[in-house]
Amino acid sequence: MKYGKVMLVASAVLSLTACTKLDEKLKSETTSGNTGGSGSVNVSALLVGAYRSFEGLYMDQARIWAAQEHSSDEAVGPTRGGDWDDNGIWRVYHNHKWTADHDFLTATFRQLAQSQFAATTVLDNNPSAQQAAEAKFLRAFAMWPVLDCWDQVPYRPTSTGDLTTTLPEVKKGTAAADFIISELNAAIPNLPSGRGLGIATKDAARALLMKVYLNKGVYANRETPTFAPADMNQVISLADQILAGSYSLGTNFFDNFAPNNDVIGSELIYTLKADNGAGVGGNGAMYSYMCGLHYNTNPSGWNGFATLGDFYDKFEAADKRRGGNYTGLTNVSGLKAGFLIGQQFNQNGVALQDRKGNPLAFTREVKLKETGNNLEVTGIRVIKYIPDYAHQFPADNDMVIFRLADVLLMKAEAILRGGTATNVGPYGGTAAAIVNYIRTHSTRGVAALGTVDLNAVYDERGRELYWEGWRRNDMIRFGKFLAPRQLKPETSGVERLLYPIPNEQLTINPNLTQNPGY
Amino acid sequence: MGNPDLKWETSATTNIGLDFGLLKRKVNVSVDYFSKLTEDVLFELSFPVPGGSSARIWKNLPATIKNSGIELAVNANLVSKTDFSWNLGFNATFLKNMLEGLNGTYNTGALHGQGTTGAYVQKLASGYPLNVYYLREYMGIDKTTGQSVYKEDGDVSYFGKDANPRTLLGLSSEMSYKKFGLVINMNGAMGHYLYNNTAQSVVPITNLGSRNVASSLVSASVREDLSNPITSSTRFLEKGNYMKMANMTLSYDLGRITKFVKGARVSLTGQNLFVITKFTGFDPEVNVDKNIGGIPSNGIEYIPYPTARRFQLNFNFSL
Repeated sequence: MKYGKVMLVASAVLSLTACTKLDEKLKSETTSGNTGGSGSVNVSALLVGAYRSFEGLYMDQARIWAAQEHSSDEAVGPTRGGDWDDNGIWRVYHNHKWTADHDFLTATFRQLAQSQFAATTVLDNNPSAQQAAEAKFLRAFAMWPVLDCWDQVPYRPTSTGDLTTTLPEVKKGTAAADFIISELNAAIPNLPSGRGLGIATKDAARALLMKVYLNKGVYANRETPTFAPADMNQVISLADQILAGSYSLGTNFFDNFAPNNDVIGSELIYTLKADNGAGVGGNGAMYSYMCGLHYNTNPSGWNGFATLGDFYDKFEAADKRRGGNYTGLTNVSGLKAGFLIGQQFNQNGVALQDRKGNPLAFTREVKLKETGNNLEVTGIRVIKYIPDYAHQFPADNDMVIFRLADVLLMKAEAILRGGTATNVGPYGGTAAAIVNYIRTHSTRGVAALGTVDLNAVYDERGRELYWEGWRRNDMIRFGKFLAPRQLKPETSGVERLLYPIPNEQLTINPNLTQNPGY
Repeated sequence: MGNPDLKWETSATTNIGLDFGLLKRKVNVSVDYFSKLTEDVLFELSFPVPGGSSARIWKNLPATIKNSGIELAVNANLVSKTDFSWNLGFNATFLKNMLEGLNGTYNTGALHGQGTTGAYVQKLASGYPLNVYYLREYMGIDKTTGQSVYKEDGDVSYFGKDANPRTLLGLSSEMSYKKFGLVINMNGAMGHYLYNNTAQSVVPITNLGSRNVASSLVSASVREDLSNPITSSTRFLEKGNYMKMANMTLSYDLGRITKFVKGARVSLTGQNLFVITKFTGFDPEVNVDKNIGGIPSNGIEYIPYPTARRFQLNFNFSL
C-alpha cells in the first residue's frame, strides 16, 4: 500500500460571535397605563389583584392545601386504576418521597412569590395608610408558608428597579420569622377592626402573628424545637385581643363552611372571598368536597382523595364534627356533612351504586394504589365545606383561613408550652378549660377530657381543623411528622421536615441553596 | 423588563483533521476530531421570584455545553470505465455531548394524553448529556395483578438513557452503466433512545373495549390489567437506531431522439423507501416539540404525521 499524500491539519479557533449588542424588547411591564389609572397607577386595583392572587394558592387542591394535608395523617390521594395516578404526584406526598421536581410544590413556591410581589407592587405605588397595611399583611401572608414549608424565603424589598440583574435576597429561619413579625406589627395599627371576610383586619394579622410566634421554635430548629415562654406569651396575648372580639362557636360547626358562611359562620376571623355573583373566588371551596365525592353522588365529584381510618378513629361517635345531617345538604342530596363512610344514599333514601354497579359504600381501608374491583369506593370521604348547589364555579363558600377554634387551641397550646395562662371571655383560664370549652360546646357535643396535655391538644386540633390545611404544620410542631403511620410504613428522614427548593428556582436564583438531604 | 447584562454565547472550537488518499488516490479518507465548548449558554428563563407575574427573560446560564467527537469520511472511486463507473461514499460521526456547571436542573419533554398531567421525561442537568432521560424504571407486568412493577414502587425517577445519537451514518452511491444511472442515499443514527408517548397515551390497555389498543399488548404473554395506570417510565423508551433509504434514483439516458430534442432522460425517484429499525412508532426520525418553558425536548414521538413515501417519475428534455 502506498500513501499518495498525507495532510495533517490542526486548528484551534476561539470564536466570539459577537456582532451587535443583544437588545431585548419589553413584553410585559406594569405601567400607569395598564393598571387602570390615567396618569397615575390605580393602587386600589393593584390591591384587589394582590388579594385575588391567593385564590389560586388556597382554592385549589394541588397547592397549599396539598402541601399541608397530603403529607400528613389526614389526607391521602390514592391512585384508583388509571384515575388520580398523575405519575405518582399525590402518592409521593403521602409516603414522603417527593423530590425537588415535584410539580405542585414547584408551582406553590412560584405562586407564593408572585403574591408577595403583587403586595410589594401595592406598597410601591403610593398607597393610603390602610392600603399599605393591607399590603404588608398580604406580603407576610405570602412569605409565611414559604418559611413554613421551605425555610428559605426569597424577598425583594421593592418591585421597581432592575429586576433581572438584582436577585432576590433570601431570608431564612428565625430571621425570616422576625421579619414577618415586624411587618405584621407595623401593619396592625392601620388595619380595620372586625371580622376579616376577604379583607385584612387587625385580627387577621394577629392570628397570623400567633402562627409565627407559636412556630418560632420550629423555625429555629425543626428537629428538636424548643419554645420560648416569651413567644408563648405573645401567642396568648394576641389570642386574648382576638377573643375580645365578637366571635363565637355558633350553633352548627359546619355553618363555618357553608355556601353562605360569610353570613352564618360565627367563627370566621379571616377568609378568602368567594362570590359567584361578583365573579370573585377562583373555584371557591369546591375542590374540598369535589375531590372526594364519587361520580354518582350529587354533586358528581372527582372520586379522588380520602382520609385515613386511623385518623377517623380519633373521633368519638358522639362528636358532631365527625359528621351528621346538614340542612341544605342532606335534604338535597342525601349526603352528610363531615366524614362519609359506609353505604351512601340519595335524598330519597335510595342506596347509591358506583359505576361498576357495586354498592357505593366507602370503606375504612384504603391503599396508595387501588386496583381491585372496589377501587372506586375505598377510603373515607370528607365533606367539610358544604357543597354549593346554587353555584359551581365558583362555589360561594368563602375559604376559611383563620377561625375562632384554631385561635383557642393555639392559646391552650401556648399555655402548655410555658406561657402564662389568662382568662378572657367565656373560654376559661387554663389549657384544659379552653379545650373542654370547645369539646363540650353544643356544636361539638363531646365530653370534657380529664387531663389536657400537649398530645390532647394535638389530637383536638386534628378533630377540629381536619382538612383545613394545618396538619403538616401541626405535626411538625408536635414532633409527629416523621413517624410511621398508615400508608407510610417507614420513619421519614429528617430532611422531610422541609420541602426541597424547587429545581426551577435553584437555576435562576443562586442565593437559594438546596435544603439539606435533597 | 430587559436584561442589560445579556451577551452572546461563546464557543471555543478545536479541530484536528487528517486527510489522506489511498490506492493512487482512488480512495480518499478524512478523519476529524472536533471539540466545541459553548459557554454563557443563552436561555429564556422564568424570572427569579418574586418578580413580575410570568415574565420571562433571556439569560446567560453559568453552564457549558461540550460537544466532542470524531468525523470519518471515506470516498471511493471504485470503478471508472467508459461504460461503467461507481463512486461510493461513506461517512460516520461519533459524538458525545455533555452539560456542565448548571445549578439545579430544568425539566423538558412534557407528555400529552390521559394520565400525564405534569409528567415530563427529560432533564437538563450537570454531568449528563442534554435531554438526558429521567424516568421511573419499569420492571415488567406483575403476573398475578397485571399491574406494572417499578423500581422503588415508581416513586423515584432515575437519570438514564441519552436522547442524542452517539453515531450518525451516511452512505451514498453513484453508479452508471452505459445509459443507466443509479443514485442511492442512505442515512442513519444510532445509540439514542426515543420516548414513545403515542404508545403510552394513545393505545394503552385501558382503551380496551372503547378505542384502539396496541397489538403488542393484546398478544403479550402476561396479561395487563385494565386498571393499570398510564405512567411514564422506561417502558416506553425505545432504541432509536435506524438506517433509512432516504432516496434512490434510477435513470436512463435516451440521448438525442429527434432533430429538435437534443437530449432526453427518464428517471424514477423514490424517497423514504424503507427504514431498518426496531422502533415501533411511525418513523425513528422523530422529534415532536414537547418543550417546557422554552427548553427544547428531543426525540419524543407523539402522534406525528407519518413520513410520506414518495415516487416521482421524471422526463427531462433538452432542446
